[in-house]
Amino acid sequence: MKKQFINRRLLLKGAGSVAIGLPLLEEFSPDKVWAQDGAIPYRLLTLSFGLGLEKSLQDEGWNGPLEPLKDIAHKGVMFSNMRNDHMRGGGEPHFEVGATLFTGIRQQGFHQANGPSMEQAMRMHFHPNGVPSLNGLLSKSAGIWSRTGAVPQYMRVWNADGSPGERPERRPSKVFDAIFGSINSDLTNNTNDLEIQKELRIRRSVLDSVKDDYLRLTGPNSYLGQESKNRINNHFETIRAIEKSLIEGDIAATDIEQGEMQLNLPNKDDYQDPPGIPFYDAPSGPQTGPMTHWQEAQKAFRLISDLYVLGLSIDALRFGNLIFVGAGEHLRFDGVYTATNIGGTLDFGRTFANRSPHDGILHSYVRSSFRIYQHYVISQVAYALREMDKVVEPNGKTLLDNTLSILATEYGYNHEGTGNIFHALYGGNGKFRLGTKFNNNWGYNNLYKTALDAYDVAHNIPGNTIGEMLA
Amino acid sequence: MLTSIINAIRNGLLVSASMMWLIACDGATNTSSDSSANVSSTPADVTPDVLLGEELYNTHCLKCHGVDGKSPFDIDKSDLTLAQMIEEIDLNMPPDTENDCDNECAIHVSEYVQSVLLTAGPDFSYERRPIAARIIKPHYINSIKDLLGVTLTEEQQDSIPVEFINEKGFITAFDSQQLITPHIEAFTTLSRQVTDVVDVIDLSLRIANCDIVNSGNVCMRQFITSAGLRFFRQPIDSADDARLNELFFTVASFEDSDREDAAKAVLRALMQSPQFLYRLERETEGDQDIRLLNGYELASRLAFFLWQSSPDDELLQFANNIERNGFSEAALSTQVERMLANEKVSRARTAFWLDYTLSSTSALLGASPDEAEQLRRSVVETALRVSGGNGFESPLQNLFTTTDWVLTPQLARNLGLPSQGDGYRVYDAAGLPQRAGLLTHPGFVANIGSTSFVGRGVILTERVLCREIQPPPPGIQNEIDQTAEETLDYTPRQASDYRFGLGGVCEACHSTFEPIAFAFEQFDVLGNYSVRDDQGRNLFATGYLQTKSGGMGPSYQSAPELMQILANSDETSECFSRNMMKFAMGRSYAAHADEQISIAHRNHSDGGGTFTALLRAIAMNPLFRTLYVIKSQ
Repeated sequence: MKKQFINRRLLLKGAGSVAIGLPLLEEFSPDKVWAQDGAIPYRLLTLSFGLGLEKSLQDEGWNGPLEPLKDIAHKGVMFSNMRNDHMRGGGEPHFEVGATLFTGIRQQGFHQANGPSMEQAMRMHFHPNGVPSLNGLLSKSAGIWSRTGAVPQYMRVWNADGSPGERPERRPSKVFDAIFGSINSDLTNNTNDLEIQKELRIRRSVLDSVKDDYLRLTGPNSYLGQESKNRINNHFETIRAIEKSLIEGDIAATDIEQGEMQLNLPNKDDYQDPPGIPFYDAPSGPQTGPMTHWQEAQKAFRLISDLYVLGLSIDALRFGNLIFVGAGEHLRFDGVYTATNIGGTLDFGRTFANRSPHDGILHSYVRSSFRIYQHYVISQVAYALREMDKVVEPNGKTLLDNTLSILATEYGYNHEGTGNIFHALYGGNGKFRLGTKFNNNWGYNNLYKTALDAYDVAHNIPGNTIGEMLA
Repeated sequence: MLTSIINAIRNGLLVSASMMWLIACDGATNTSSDSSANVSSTPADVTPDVLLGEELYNTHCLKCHGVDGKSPFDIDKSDLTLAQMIEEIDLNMPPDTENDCDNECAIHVSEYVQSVLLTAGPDFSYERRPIAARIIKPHYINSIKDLLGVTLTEEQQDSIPVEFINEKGFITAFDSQQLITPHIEAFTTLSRQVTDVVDVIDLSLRIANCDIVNSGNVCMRQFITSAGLRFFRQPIDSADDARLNELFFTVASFEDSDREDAAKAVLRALMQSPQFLYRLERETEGDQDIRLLNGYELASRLAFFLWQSSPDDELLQFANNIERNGFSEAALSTQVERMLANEKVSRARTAFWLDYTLSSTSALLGASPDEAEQLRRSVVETALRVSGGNGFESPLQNLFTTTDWVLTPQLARNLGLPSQGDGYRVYDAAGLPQRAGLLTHPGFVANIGSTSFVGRGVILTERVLCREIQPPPPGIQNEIDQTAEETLDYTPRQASDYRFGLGGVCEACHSTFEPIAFAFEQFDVLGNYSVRDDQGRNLFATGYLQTKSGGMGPSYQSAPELMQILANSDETSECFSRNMMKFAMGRSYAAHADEQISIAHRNHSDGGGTFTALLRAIAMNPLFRTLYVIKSQ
């Protein structure tokens, strides 16, 4: 039996002949590629949707905009009427609570949170030296949004020092690259094994050399201040994770014979960027933002969601964020949308002809329009969660059960205000009282704190434990 | 009064006199209080509580004084002692309200204001603290070209994530820098791809005067020393030397590798080192709060500022001379002049105008991609033309009035000008209605991306006048929403009139930034001119330039008249210095830097007011060569 490492390079080499999209989930065998002991890894996914959800719409339950979440209600804990006014921080009213979402800590300023987002906290706690996933990807943030300038309105990933993390990627093709593909494609494209082996040896040596440099600069005798050390350390942590997966290939090491290793991996051709979105690379969004047909946005987001689900299921992704429209969103949708199950249609094109959703139906609050619009928005993030619930993992539970997922939005009715905020928690490895619903005036920092405490994750989120949500 | 002071002293709170000026929210000034006023005595048992003070400040004071004590009414403008402040608050604050801040409240609030708020504003630390800045995308690309002679392909350049820039800043801003996995992937992959195409023999001959592949270990050591110096922008120390030597020998010892592979491995390690990828300064070294940069730190700053790249050999020699002989302003001047004369300075010129004109951040979503590119590039080219991009420089103040605009045939047609031929060419915009200067160039107007006087006013006030605009105070979001709704179908001027008509804090704040935008009402979001909007309503260009406090400054009848006012303004001229300092240093500068900014401004003006004079004034400014030392971790 030949010892065979499974790494990105081999995965891609082995996958060349198989080109399928979503159906692969049914054919794929995650248990073959997980860590040696087959244990389900801890994973944390945050999902956010913009523009909040007014309290009366939350109170409608499954008969309102939350209807898309109905099928998985028993897999989650719902929280309405949460608050964040006690976490107001630097910045102006529009942005002064944005960076508290998923961090639970009063933000520092215009660009600055005051600590890591939840998934980063968990990542750093369990994997301080890089994530031992299939490809060593630390985390991924992606989604459909068009709002820049006010960083906390779309930034949902924050580093340990509160600095902005990854800006959400909009292109499905780039999400594919990050999770499955193109790192070191120059190497993976090389079919000459001797050349590859030589390159791997050199890379290992280079990394060893560079490592000492990073450690010295972040050590006690460094001439750098703590903030600079944090930056350098953050850099090194990432470089080490990437290199580790490539060089050692031992993350998912197993004794599978090469001939048995038949992985059905996705084909990038199936994840090309839908062409109807004009703002993939737009650096900023004005008050009246770009317009795209809602079906195009949905298509793009579903591709991204599919990639996330696949990445999570084969342990190519453990931590991440999905966002569908940001706070204060100015992205406008075109087309007529019908929220079939709750009865209602909204002509997006007409409603948003001259105004963004933020200006047109939030500032100028039109409940009936907002209700349908948010049904559309929530149905997008619900899609990702429902797809996760379709993947059965080796322990007999679904990917949704085995992953801690936090779904949230930034405001309630008084949108830049601070009350009636909706949150939901899904899965969580059996640690929570699923199927429950709370309507308390709790700060959502308490939810985050309780969730991370349940995993014994070290964090700095202030607040109280919500005992009621624990199993 | 006396009781207040005694209590303040008892509590250790009498601080040195800072400029204090409490102002009522209705705009009436309340200068120092009368000591004979009827003040309730300070309870002797009240211990000032900063946290409570902050809470009370947020309740009673935030609306008028903002999160930093300045918005819209600046507390920091008088010389009230702590006791006087307590008294003033107790007697008069907040004005016109039943919800008074009583004596005890005043004690806590004053403590918070004087010991926290005015001592260190929310973003104070950003203005001074040193921090390792990752070399930004153009710095990386230029450094690879200058150090190794390798020009990255378009695909390779695209593999490096674009820098995040907030709309107020410059690409160099370190505080908003992001580091994401794609950065690391790019740096890692590029280190291999670049070294693959480097001729290490040629390189070693150039930098170490020997052939690293065919010579012995002496050459190898020279190579490591020389390459290390260039990539790290300072001499490598013994630890670096040892590990790079070890790397060389390790790779050279592989069965399938040779000395060329080993030399390339050393280069790869250098390219992935934090000492190359980050602009490191010795943040904790030095006994004083502020110290002069060492020679290599200064050389690095100069290179990344003026050339947007790593230092060249002569600059490194200059650094070495400083280390040996101490700093010399004359030697610095020699280097600055040499750098200004080098064509690499055009990188700084382009980078600055890309950000200044908002071309690096604008979305221009109403335009086709091709038209958007034309708008962005044409306005930058216009700025370059004034600032020496064509080999001839005029004072930067001419930017406000220049009618030599760079345009494409399509943009020219939109303006009613006959085509001068394909590509970007100079057109005479004189005589076009409401057009004069860079700010009325369709590219600049379009880059702002808004027709509202709020959006335009904020950007123009901050960018052209360098006045800080404070965010609206918390608690008025419903009023903002209501106002937005009420004015949704108004012309920009009607909407502005409505906001001003609300009086109070709305008018007080908006009057500090909207008036400069009045002149632009006849331009649509893409910079096209019209005297009526699509509903046939008249649009205007008359107005006045606001004073800093929101009063009425000089009036104008047209956009060109406003531009003339701006061209003649010393404030706009100084603003160039402030912006350039921000660009050079990657950070904003507040009050502590005012004196040096003024010096830079004076030197810029004395030097002819040109772009080159501005670069020189900043590069020679003492602020540019100092570092705030981190005293404790």
